[in-house]
Amino acid sequence: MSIVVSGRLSQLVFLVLYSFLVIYGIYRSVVQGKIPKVRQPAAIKALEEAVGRCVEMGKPLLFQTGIGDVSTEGVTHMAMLSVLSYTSALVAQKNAKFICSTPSPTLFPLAEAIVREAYVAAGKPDGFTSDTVRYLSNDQMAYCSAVMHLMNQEQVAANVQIGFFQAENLVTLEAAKDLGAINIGGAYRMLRIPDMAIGCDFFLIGEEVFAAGAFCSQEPLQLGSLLGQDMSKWVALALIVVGTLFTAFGSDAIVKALRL
Amino acid sequence: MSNILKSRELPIVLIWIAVLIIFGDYFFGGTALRTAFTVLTVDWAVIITNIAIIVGALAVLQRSLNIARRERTEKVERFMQTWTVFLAVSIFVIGVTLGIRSSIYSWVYNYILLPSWQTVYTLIIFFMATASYRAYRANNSYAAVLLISGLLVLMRNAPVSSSIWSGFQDLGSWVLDVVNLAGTRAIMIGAMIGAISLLIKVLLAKEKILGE
Repeated sequence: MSIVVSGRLSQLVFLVLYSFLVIYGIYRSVVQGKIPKVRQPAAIKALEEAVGRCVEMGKPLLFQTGIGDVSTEGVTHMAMLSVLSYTSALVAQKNAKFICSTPSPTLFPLAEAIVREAYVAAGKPDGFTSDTVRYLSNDQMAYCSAVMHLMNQEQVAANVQIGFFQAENLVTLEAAKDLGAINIGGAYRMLRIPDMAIGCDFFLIGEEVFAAGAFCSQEPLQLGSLLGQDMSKWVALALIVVGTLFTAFGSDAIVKALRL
Repeated sequence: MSNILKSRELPIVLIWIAVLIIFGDYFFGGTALRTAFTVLTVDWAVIITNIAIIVGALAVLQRSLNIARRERTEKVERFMQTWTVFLAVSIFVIGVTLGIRSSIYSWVYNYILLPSWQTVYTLIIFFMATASYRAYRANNSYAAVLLISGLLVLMRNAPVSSSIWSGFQDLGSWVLDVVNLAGTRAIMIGAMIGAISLLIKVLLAKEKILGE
């Protein structure tokens, strides 16, 4: 009798392998000091430019946290909060106007705490007011109209929406574009990637969303985890190539192994 | 006690316990793990989510009251914030005391909330349609590829397309089953590896959001 549930052995093996590779990447970077050189995605570089643009124009940067509660899409929200932390630190340092809007009552206190902390860390606790982080509505379409009103009222110069979005995605991107704002986005869901592609000036796709925190911080530990991620991708790619070759030559060994 | 509750280690320990139970149940099964999994995902998930909602609701109410009390707030906004808080608290009290099936609560839902939602939804849907029309333009090479692919899939699904040219069916299916599927899988594999990496950093207490 197998200890592992039938059909899930290969999944367990890959989970352990990927975890090991990420830990090795961190170990190599932090302990051995071999910090990988990482190309920063254009969307992360653009965040700094967007903050600069907001300062020059005297208009605010709007950061949208994405829809849904902490209990759903927790990993995506965690990635989003990393970018929020980085963005709010940037705006606090450069004295840019900043608004963070959220449609989720459970994300609201988290976003508020992170933004407040960024202002305190920058030595500007007075920069954070009760208007900085705004809960608008947990109804998707009501949130949509509230954000569009907010954009028009405040005449935002940049709109950042990285995380979990649904039908409101394209609407808010288009509303920001109408105002001439820079749109910076990020989505891992296939349904939302086309919206981001056409609506954003710069955007993160798929795993880049989860790695955004690492790209922002540029710390050895975070960069090491990116190395582990890349090695994991090479393993997946190798498996695809080997699997394709095996299948092309009439062997289903790889398919059977993956079903173990 | 308060030191333990405020410590960084406590959430990490709780995350470890949750991860071990969820992964243990998925990979190893067994009655004990199944029971622990059910308790965790059904009972505790509901409890924790509700606590998070209460914390969130209190934070939102506190913010509204702060804005309403602020001297520099305009009178209209002050009134709107106070009115919102009053309505929210009233509906909450009605729901808790009379129950969500009571006639008053149902009236509020059927004659205030539902029509409001439907009105907003209808207005936004029109904007969404025009936004899609304005946004889906071949501004660059990527957008052009997206637009052409979209048109091919649209023609595949449109009944009239087979009368125009029978090849639309095959071409649209090829875009969906080969090009789209390959791209989707590549992105999903990458995204899941990214999620695993994030989870590892959380488990090692190295994720910045947790105060590393």
